[in-house]
Amino acid sequence: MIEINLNDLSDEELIIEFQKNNTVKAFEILVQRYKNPLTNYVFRFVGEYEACSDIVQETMIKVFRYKDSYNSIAKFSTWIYTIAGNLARTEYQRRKRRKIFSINSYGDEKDESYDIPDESYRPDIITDSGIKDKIIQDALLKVSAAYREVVILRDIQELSYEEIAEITGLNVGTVKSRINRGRAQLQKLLKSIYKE
Amino acid sequence: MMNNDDELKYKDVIETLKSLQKVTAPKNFETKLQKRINSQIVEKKKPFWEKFFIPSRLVPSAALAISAVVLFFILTNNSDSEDPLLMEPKIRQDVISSDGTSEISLPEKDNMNRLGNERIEDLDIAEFRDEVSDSGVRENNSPLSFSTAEHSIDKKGLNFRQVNLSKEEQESLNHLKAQFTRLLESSKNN
Repeated sequence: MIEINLNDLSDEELIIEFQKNNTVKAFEILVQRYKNPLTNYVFRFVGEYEACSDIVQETMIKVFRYKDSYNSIAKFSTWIYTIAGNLARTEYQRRKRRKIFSINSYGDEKDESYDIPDESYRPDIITDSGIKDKIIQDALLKVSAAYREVVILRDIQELSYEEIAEITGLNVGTVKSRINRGRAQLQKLLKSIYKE
Repeated sequence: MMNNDDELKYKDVIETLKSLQKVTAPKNFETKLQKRINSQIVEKKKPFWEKFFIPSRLVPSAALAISAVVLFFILTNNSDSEDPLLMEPKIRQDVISSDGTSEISLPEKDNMNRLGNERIEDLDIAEFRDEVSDSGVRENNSPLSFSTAEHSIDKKGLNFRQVNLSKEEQESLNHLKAQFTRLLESSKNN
């Protein structure tokens, strides 16, 4: 019997190996390959590291549990990005609702203004080089979610328009127009950085 | 071409985004993931009966089963009783007198008052009597109720209704009577 080096297999071959033979090692390699790209994508979309880590874990668990629902015609990367994207969107909406609710309930109890605490700001972690990064991330979070998602997939994750269309379920034309609108919003928000 | 134009237009934005630091997964990512998957596998591997016999899950199913049994008994017991719409009407024993004697009961005082101002001609009563003798049975709650086994009324003791007439009425009645006797006599003569 020829011993196969699983590390040499493509993503699609690995997931099929996991589907057919329940080879956990194949799943582990997939986790190894996708944990960082997905963490980066989800963090840029949600803006909170702990939540992002949970979402990526949940994505991997879904891949593990529903491995049989993967269709070999599709690319594995688009499948896993779709799962992560759906979970990230759900989490983002949940957090948004919770924030609105907490603001409203606070205003009802006390008639005074206040600032929403910025949980992502951590002075002990952020260094000088990280300040610019934080400004960009803040600007990114101000872009509407529909545009932000495609901008991240295109300009940060560097996926093709076709892949983005498959992940989001939109047609390529819509993807392109959304990306440009998102970029335009970002350009406005980052004016101060470009002046420097 | 258009894509290139757009990418040139937003070149600064694209470069800014590409320059962002890559966020990586935490170091204990795999360990944590392994734990979560294992806990889910253990939960999944629990035998069916073990999941089924959890008391909290048994309560609603037991309640459903009990209510089904109760409903079954209620429905089966009810099916023995006759359909009221198909039932033969019951014969009322209270309207048939057993001793065979004719008896007439006078209407109650209230009924008397209600009928106080009405004129009851002898003729009407006779018609009523004939009607009763044909049917034989009359309900007890009618103003002149009676029961008989022989289909006849004994006039003895028959209390005709007493009607108090005013003077004018009495006079007109007398006048009518006189007219009637005259007519009777003339018919006899003819």
